[in-house]
Amino acid sequence: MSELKEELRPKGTVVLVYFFLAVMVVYYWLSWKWLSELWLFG
Amino acid sequence: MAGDFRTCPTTGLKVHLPAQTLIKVNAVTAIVFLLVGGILALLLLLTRWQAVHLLPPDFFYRFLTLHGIAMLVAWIVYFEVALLYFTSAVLLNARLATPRIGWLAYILMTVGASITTVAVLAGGSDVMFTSYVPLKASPFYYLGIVLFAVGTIIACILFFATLSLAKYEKTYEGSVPLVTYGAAVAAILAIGTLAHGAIFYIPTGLWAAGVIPMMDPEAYRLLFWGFGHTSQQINVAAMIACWYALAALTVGAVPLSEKFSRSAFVLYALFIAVASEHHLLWDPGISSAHKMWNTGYVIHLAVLASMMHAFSVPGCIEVALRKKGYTKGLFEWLKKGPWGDPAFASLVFSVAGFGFLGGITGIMYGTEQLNILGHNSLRVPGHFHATVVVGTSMAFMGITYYVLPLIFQRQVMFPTVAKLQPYFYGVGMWILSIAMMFVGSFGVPRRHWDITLADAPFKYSFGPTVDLGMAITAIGGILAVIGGAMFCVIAVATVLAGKKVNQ
Amino acid sequence: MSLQSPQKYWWDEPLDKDEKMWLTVAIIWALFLTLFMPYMHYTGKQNPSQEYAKISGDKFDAAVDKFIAQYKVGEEAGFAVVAPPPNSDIFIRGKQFTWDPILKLKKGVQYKLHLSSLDMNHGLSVQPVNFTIQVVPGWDNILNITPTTTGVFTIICNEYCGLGHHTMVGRMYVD
Ligand code: HEM
Ligand SMILES: [Cu+2]
Ligand SMILES: [Cu+2]
Repeated sequence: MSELKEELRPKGTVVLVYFFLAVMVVYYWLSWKWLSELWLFG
Repeated sequence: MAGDFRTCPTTGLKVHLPAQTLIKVNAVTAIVFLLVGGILALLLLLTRWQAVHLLPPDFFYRFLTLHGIAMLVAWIVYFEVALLYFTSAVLLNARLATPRIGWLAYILMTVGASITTVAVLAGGSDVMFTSYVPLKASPFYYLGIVLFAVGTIIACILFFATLSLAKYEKTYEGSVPLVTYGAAVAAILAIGTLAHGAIFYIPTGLWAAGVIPMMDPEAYRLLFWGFGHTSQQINVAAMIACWYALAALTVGAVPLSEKFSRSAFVLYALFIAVASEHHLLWDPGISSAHKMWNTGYVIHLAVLASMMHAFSVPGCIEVALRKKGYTKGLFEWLKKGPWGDPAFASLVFSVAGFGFLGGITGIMYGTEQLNILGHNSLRVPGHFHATVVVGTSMAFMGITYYVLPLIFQRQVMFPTVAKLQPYFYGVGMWILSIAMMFVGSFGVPRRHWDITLADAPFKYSFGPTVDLGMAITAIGGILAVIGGAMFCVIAVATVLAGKKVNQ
Repeated sequence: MSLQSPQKYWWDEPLDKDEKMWLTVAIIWALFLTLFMPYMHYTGKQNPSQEYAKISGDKFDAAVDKFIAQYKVGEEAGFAVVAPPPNSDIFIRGKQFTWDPILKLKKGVQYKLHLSSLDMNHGLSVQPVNFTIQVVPGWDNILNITPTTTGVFTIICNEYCGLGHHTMVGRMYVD
């Protein structure tokens, strides 16, 4: 796809995938936070 | 030989007629099981919604066992077999190596699925599709599954035989198409995992028949998920192959980079097959080091592969639509997509739902420590209804809208209903899986007949938020059942009475 | 198109810059996910059992009976209520369709919890703190557990264990 003209580049997809990653990072962080509030196990 | 072929007027592909018949038979059987599983789903849904609480407990657990098998085993796998024949014989202009073996595979699968279904319905096999020992089903339950698995393995071998034959007879030039490549990865995973499954169900069945002693329950869990989870990766690979096919069929998309997409498929083939212990993260008997190796190193390379497809599938759709002139801003292409084409709508629901709902939650619940928060709660069915229903099943439904005219050579009936179908199913399933994960985060158990705990020695209430969540689950589920019924009606009516596409 | 054979030499075609960037980011994220689990084993305070052992149902049953006889302080709904001292070995026995005994624990105190089943797999799901540990027959799942909240807790079975599964409910107290 290297020869794509500028207006044909998948710019929307780039935004979508980084948004996807951001959601994943936030949920990951939240999950560890919830876990840290639990009783202690080891 | 030539008389065994017809030329498809739309695509110019040479279609091998015996292959076409096998595709039809497997696809129709898949849809029959989807119908059965869907009816059961409605009953389960109306039972878990405590305001209705429809079924008595024994039928709830029995139908739950059968829903898992009819859907996850029968619907999905029959459809995959149809896809394997389609992506080998049809896409490569080739003949199916040995149609007779294809029939043998079909008969084994169908005898197996029937035996297991009857064994479950007859009672005494209320063990859920996981059948963790010491829970014991009728020996026929295991026999049916073994036969089904053997039949599927034969179908996969036939797929590879057809690939080599096509190469030998030079029916195509260069490399196989990307969709066939993805299907081949699915078939490789299938042969490995189903062989494993068939082998470990044999001692379990013999134990149920009283011939040999029981295997260790933890060893069973390890062996079960070694097969049970890996077989889900077959569904992932098959689904992504369908995504590329749907992107091509609905908007004429061309892969952005064959190298990129194919490398991602190779990562699946190499690494995903090992991951299984994320079902056992708070189990005894396996060291943390092993759990982390199994779920960490190996699965995150598979995560990497999924993230690659997450770029290249929407990316190729976007570029194709931009080429049609929708180049304004970031998202004009998405707005102007062919939303009235049920295959396109299914594709979008499938890609977005698999990624945002199924993928993200899967990574959380599959992390060793985090698993304690969700294990065996409704978060788990919420997660896999996002992956295997929104993801895989909707991709398969989308492809069906093209299989009907191309293979069954009939025009899709009730086009208005067809237009709406993915919205009912997709929106309903999104609601169902989000709501299930939501109530699951309050600790609501899965596979549970009565969360009001009315017959228990101690009282506990999950509270009004959970009641509301269960009601929303039911509403989403009912929408999805309506969408599923629309799909089955359209498919069956078209197969039986659709207008012939002229030759 | 993906339904047709690609052009020859597709493997020579270079990746686009957006693809390269995303690939790099995705690799870093995958590595991070992989390394964060072992890292949390060192710094986190919620980790799965590192000690587990095979144990026969009879042996476990006997150990639980002994434990109950030693620390029993009362009875509720036909189940023994047991108040073990800090840092002791404590037991919960799962069987179709009961959890026993009822533990009375102290907040902020560590105990060595032993979990096993006499028959099927069960799921020890403690509410409303909301955590679940797998209980497997033939195996002693051992966890050093420290309650950090007080109250009345309900133990629900969340691993299907037979037709009475939904009646398998137990109690636990922390004060
Ligand atoms: C209309 C669509 C569907 C609805 C409303 C629905 C609903 C449900 C419900 C209510 C449960 C029970 C959850 C629990 O109590 O633990 C369930 C379980 C399950 N469903 Fe579905 N489902 C649908 C479609 C599907 C499809 C298409 C598949 C597979 C491809 C599927 C696979 C499963 C599996 C594997 C289980 C777990 C069974 C078990 O726990 O043993 N479902 N579903
Ligand atoms: Cu139980
Ligand atoms: Cu249970």
